[in-house]
Amino acid sequence: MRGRVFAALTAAATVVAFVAGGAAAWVYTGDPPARAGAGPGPWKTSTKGVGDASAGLLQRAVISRVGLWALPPSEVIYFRAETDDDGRPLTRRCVYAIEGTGDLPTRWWSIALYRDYFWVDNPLDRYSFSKTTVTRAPDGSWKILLSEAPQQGDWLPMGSKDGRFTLPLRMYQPEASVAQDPRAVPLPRVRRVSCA
Amino acid sequence: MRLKLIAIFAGVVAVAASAGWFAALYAIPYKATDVMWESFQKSGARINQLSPARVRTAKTAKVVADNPDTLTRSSIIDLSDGPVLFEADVPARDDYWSISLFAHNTDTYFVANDRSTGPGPYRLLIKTKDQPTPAGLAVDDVAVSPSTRSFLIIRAIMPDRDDKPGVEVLRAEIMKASLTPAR
Repeated sequence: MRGRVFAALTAAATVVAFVAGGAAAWVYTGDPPARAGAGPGPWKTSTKGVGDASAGLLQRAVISRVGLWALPPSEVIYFRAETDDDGRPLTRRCVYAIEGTGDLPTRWWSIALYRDYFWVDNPLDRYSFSKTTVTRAPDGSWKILLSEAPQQGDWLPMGSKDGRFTLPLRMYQPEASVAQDPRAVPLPRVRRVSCA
Repeated sequence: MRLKLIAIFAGVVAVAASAGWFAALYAIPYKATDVMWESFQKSGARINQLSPARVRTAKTAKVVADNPDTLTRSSIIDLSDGPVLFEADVPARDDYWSISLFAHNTDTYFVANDRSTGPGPYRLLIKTKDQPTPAGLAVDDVAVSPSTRSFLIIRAIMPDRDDKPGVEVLRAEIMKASLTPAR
């Protein structure tokens, strides 16, 4: 009798544990750690296994949830920042300045803004600035402002809803040095200017 | 005896939880792909037929972590009736253009960009490893799909998505691409 109870209990626990393990994988892959990867300042990237068969089970599952149909690093290296330079998560209650100089070591680049991995809806339909759209000062420097309220200049609207904000920085056909040492890539600062 | 039973119980639970974790990790990419394919098909996408090229907005973009600066065309590829021929007139531009193919599990199994193909006519045969290349068919590349179904994406950078005339020129260029049964 006791043996049967134990067997039934174990069988039930096995099912529950299997489902719990699957649920944990689902939750984790949809909300991966913000600081995973390598890169300068708040920017992080993975230069191995993205979008190709060398990816492990976990990496492939994460990418399918938060970067479906990503291209391999030979085509694009995807950096992302979810914090400012001081490690504070991006929030719509603050104004940020993304500040860079010159061009990045790549054929083409862009910086967009996601909330929960999707574009932030706004009346301007403005979701990014790029090598070809960012406004440059005479000295080659450029600045993109990030905030809920409209700003003068290159402004990326953060919208009026909270969420997980991510700045994806794409480098199309980057120079070899980017994959060799992502930490040394001269990526822009993400400076918190003010908060409400 | 009691300790032994507890150890067995804990071991079985741990193994089951691990099995659930890894089974889900394996299944998630397939599920993510299936969800998107179903969504596209509900919106009118046809198998082995390239979608129109539209400038997407937050209201119309369906793919997670999409790039707002690319004009794209896509198609679910189904090779169950034989290989498929992709033909394009690769734009002669400073900006990036590519065709990429993704297996059902989301792995990229083929990619070519405008620098590797060069500008002008480009022909790509898409087939499974068991399917022969049709006799006499001249192609520039062959992509071997690890799964019967896969996904094709053409990506072309829009230098400025707000430059409507410029986007229209690019759209006309990438709308020349086609998919046909390979014979």
